[in-house]
Amino acid sequence: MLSKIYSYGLLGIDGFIVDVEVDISNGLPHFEVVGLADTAVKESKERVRAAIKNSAFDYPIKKITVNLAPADVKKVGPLYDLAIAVAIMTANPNNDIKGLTPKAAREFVIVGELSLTGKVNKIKGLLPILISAQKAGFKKFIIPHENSKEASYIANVQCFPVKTLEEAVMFISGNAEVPQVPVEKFISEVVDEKNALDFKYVKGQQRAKRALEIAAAGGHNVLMIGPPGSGKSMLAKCFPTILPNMTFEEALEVTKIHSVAGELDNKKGIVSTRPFRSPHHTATVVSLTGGGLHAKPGEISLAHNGVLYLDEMPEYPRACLEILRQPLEDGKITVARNAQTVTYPANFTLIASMNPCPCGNYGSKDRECKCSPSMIHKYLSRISGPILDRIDIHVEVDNVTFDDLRTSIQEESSLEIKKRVDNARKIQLDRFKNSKNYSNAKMSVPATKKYCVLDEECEQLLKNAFSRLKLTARAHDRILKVARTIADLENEENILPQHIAEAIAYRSLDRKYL
Amino acid sequence: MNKTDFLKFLSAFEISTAKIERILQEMGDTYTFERFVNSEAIEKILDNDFSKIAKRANDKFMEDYSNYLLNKNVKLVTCENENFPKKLLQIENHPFYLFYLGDLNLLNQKCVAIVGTRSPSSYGITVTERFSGEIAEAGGVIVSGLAYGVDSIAHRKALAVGGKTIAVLAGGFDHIYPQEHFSLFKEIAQKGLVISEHRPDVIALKYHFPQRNRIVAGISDALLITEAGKKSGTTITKDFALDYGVPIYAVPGNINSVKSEGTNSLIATMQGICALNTSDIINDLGLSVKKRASVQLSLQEHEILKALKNGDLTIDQICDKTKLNINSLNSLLTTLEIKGIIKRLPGGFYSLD
Repeated sequence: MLSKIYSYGLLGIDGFIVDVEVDISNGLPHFEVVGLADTAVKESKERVRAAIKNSAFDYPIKKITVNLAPADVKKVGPLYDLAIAVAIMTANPNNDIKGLTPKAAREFVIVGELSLTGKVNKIKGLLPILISAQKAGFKKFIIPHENSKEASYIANVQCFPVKTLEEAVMFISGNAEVPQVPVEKFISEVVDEKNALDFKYVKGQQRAKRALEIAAAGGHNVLMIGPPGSGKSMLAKCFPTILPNMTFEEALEVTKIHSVAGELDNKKGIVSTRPFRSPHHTATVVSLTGGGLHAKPGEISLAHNGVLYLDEMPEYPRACLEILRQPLEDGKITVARNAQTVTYPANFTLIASMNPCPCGNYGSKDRECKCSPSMIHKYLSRISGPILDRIDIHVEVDNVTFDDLRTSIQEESSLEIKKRVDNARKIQLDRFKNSKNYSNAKMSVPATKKYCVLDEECEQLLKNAFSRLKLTARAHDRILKVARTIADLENEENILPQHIAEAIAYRSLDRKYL
Repeated sequence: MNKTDFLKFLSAFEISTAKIERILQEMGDTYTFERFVNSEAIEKILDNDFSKIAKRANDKFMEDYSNYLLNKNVKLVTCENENFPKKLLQIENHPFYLFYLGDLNLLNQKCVAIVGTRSPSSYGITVTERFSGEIAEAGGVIVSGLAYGVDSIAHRKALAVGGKTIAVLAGGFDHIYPQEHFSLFKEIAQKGLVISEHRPDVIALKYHFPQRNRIVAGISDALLITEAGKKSGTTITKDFALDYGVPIYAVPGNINSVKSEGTNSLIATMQGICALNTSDIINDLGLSVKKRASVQLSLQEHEILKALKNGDLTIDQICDKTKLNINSLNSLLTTLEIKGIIKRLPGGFYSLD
């Protein structure tokens, strides 16, 4: 007998329909899976057989052929287990469950991994599957119970979470009821409890805080330069607390990526805070970009709509830093592997930190720097010009003194800063209403010309700054963009000289450093 | 052939000054290739190199060599020329010729050598810039060796204030060491003077550097050491200056700082004059201090300058002292910097310029 039911596969962060066809015929007992299945799918025959048997159903001792169509796309992972098992049971000529027909099963898109006991295990990437399937017109889904939170944020679909194969079969045949996953409303959380940080706990560091405020307001990338122990990491970790809340669309995009990577918290089901990713400097190119056998999303995609923090930036391998160029420019990364080419979104704010020299004490008043000039030069030149080009704000972070730590002065809290940031973002949303771009940092060259108009006084100031401070040409547009953001923060329509002057203060690496 | 041409011929072969001196003695007053090639005494002096050099002792080679220098745009001055610095002729073991780029007349003006450590502290940077800038503004020519640290800071500051500077290189002009200073070398060649006693294609070797230092000391009317540790190349320059009777100035430093040990001990042993301000050096040289034009400043800018009078501060400290908010402080500091009144040091410090 033949049975054909629907399941869904994943390509990058998009789903595609997979027809699971099962044919059971007389002949020597045999089980074959065809249709470009990878090892995890091939192995499903063992899981399926054991799961059916251990759920006390009849397993046909016949020749079983499973085809996963379309047959020319690689199928990856164990998410077809449940669909294959249901298909086999519906195709079984000895099937004695009332109502269990291929037609009944075809009502649903079925995804789930099986354990040998018949339990349905959670899968990776349910959210992108639901979103794609919903767009393709599918309405009813049978999903693993552990994934139900993740499914609860998609409206206009009916998801039925099952715990076991038996439950799934009984539900499909109409012999049992399974409650539908209730639709939940998305509430954006600002701070993750895990890193409950706040700028009010950061003592001193006024300039760095101000720089991060500007960065949050305009979507600028930041490089912090300072000696070890000056609080660069702390500042970076606080940065997400002043970023604007994620919209539902943004959250869904982020959740899609995290779901595919298997990094989703199943209790929450959605990523509701802006992600903060800090890959270690031993990270490989693949772990950053994504890729590998199954072209999984990498750290920079996991940081989508959030923050990518690179601590000790010059310590990263050159290749790792260079691959950041495409995502910093286009907000996405294309990973080409021999099996498939996938484009993942990677629109993040880059926060990087570095020491001023290999030992970290260059320029310090009380600690001696032991680095030779050529060592310092080498260290700094590990960050190439093109990368530096894409970082708008360079800020020096000073050493923290004991007095700073013990002071009782109340620092501004993240919430207060966030209010100003939100306001500046609103101005930008209005400004870029009719374009794809939505932040000052991503302004194109013509847009920069249009929105960063300077009066005579500003021109003169900028000109003097270039000759006097020996700024490089690449600083020019960066200064304009940052000045635009500063003006937005102060609610000024035009860029004023003080905005330009402040923006110039954030170009320290463009100057002659040694 | 005259002595100048003969020295030019010798300059093509990297012969040590001691040997050149002996060769000149052997030649007497008649300079011909014939005499050079046939002299047994000279063959003995030059030893293994003789055959190689003798082979090239002809007019054809001289023409090629002249063209080579012309192509490189490198000029040569010998001790016979009246433009050759007189000060240099008085030192023992003086070079007989110099390759140069730029304005040779600078050598006959008041020259102050500024040397010191290759990795100065922020204090070292500040004082080097201050002394170099003010001396150059007063019309002194800043001499140094284009090395990392104090050398390059002194060169740059002199150029920045529109003054004159001379770089003395250890190797030839084709191989600038350190390479990072190539653009600085270009600028000095254009606006000042670069000299070397080596053919353009010679790569600087370790022993060339101390030899270079004798020229630095030899062409200068004063030597200023702004910051130097105990063991440093600066010691060699200082010893030459002592030999040549060039007055030495040393800038005192923190007695706890390793980087000021050299300068402090110079003062302690009375080898160097304690340099407390630029005007002393400028007056000793017979130059006069140039008055700076005063700049209009706002009330807030005055506040900042007042805070900085007592030493370098970070922006947070300025923020504390002046009670200005960080937004306006950021832009005020940049404007002051553009006006050239304060400057930013590595490590986020600001100081008065």
